[in-house]
Amino acid sequence: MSYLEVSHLSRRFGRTNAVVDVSFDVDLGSVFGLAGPNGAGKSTLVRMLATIVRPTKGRITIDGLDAVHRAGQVRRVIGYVPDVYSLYDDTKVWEYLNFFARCYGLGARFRSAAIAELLKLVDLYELRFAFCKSLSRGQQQKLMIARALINEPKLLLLDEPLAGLDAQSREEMLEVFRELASMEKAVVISSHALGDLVDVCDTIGLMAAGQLTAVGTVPELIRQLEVTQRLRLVVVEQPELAQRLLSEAPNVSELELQHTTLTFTYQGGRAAQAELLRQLMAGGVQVAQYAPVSQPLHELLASAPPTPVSPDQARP
Amino acid sequence: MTMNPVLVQEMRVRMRGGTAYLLLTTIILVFGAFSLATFWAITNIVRPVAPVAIQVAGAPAPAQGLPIDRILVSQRGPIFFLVMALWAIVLTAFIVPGTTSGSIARERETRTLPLVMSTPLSPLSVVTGKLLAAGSYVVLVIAAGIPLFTLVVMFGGIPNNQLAAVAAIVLVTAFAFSALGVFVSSIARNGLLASLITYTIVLALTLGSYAVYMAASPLSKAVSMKYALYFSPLAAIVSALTQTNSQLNSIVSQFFREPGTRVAGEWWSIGHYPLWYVTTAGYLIVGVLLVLAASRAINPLRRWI
Repeated sequence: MSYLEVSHLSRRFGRTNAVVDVSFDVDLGSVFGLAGPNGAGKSTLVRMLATIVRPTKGRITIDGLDAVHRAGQVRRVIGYVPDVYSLYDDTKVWEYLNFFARCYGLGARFRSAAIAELLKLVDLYELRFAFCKSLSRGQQQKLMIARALINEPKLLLLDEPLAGLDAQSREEMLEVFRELASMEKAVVISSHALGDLVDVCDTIGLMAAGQLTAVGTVPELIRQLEVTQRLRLVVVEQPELAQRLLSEAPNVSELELQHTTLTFTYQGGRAAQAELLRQLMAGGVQVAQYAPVSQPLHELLASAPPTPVSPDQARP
Repeated sequence: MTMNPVLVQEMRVRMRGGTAYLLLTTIILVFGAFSLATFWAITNIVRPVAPVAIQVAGAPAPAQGLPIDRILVSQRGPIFFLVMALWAIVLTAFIVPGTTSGSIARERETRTLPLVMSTPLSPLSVVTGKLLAAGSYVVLVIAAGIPLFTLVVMFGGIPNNQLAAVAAIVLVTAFAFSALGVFVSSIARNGLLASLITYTIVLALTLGSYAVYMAASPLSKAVSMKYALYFSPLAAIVSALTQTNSQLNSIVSQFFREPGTRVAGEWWSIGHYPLWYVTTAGYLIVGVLLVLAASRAINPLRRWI
């Protein structure tokens, strides 16, 4: 049994289907990324996981507890960072964390120690007596992440946690997320920028129009998706022959020839790529090397067609 | 046992800086000035216009009752206490919507409410925390005005049960208006709208009900609108203080005539129950219901609204 189990989850707002039949699991010690454009339903999904939006259909189980009917218990084991800044302007940094620590029922002695430790973790200890409104955007985001950790959650829900951060702060935050995953926590991160997730997530779910279009590890995603990929073909001789055959082949574009190396964009999965190679060799091309050009995943998936995955496929 | 975190947070923020103290000082100064003006008026204006005629034993009794000036003089204490108690209600009606109506709506505006609701803190704890914080401030203001009430000792004539009744009415009114403010705040889009709605309802309850009663009086001899007074805490105060004081009643009943009559009747009771019993019990019940409704309204997993 996974720590977080999402099963056939849907949410409607009036006539709008914000989330449609989404299913996935997340284990302790792993980081699950939710990627997709704005309006894809990521935030609604994370809010349902955070027990602040009631699902229209489906079931969320966290640590074996139903997230709707046992919300009070579930909230004790989750930490949630919303996609908007949620700070009390007229409250000091220390007071902000102290208030939420009280909400979780932490004792006074434990509160002080936990707050100091968290503020050091996010590098805000020196600013503990500053008002929240005086913090920079990045510092405010760090404070919200510290707040989400105040109850030592087993499941961390981060909705666009890197938005608005500069490059250095993003890298620091990513390091914090990796550290959290190594502490046997289940982490769910949503982001509209896939690139933010690739380096830190074990599994990524792609969302579009409220549906999960693909779920898997980075290599699995590439296999699952009929992606547009840049390929490199190195031939022993007769590069012109290879060029002619490729230009005649379907789904090939942006063909470039340099000496004996041909680089082109191909629309098709692994099976189609293998079939293309077979056709080239059958046409008399002597292939020395045939491999995908190394590309960042977010570029690879940029043109991924929004094909919903079935709930069974969605379970990694 | 730990204190409600919302209460601690609200009190900490509310009392930070000089605004709260400045407001408190201003209210007390205004209350004080009003009290002293009332005290001066009662001691200097309400005087007997003719010497007291001492009745000789065996002589025939005067044909008419005590003249009004004599009644007024004998009722200086109760009149002063009545005015002060009414002023306490007006103060409550003035302060409470301002302190409560923004409480939850402001959380919604700053988007901190979902964050609070994602913690194990129950919606009822959030609402009671907001309510107690606002109520505490109102009680602080009223408590700060208690020394002014001691001026009534100069006149005397206020039994303990009336003191207790007035205290109960003021506290229950503060609670009910606070609950109303928090409830409106829990469903309003923003703090300004919540304040507007709360002030309108409080004004309608406090003065509007009396206005309806007075407006309806000359219109119909058959239909009594005295029930409108049951919504007004001001009428409850008058009811509590005149219930066992016929002389004070004869003075204030000039303002509470039965419809179509020239003489005030037993306007303060419904059946066997004095008006203030009904008003206070009603405010208490409605206040509790509003607190429960507000906690339901902010529950993100509720099935309605």
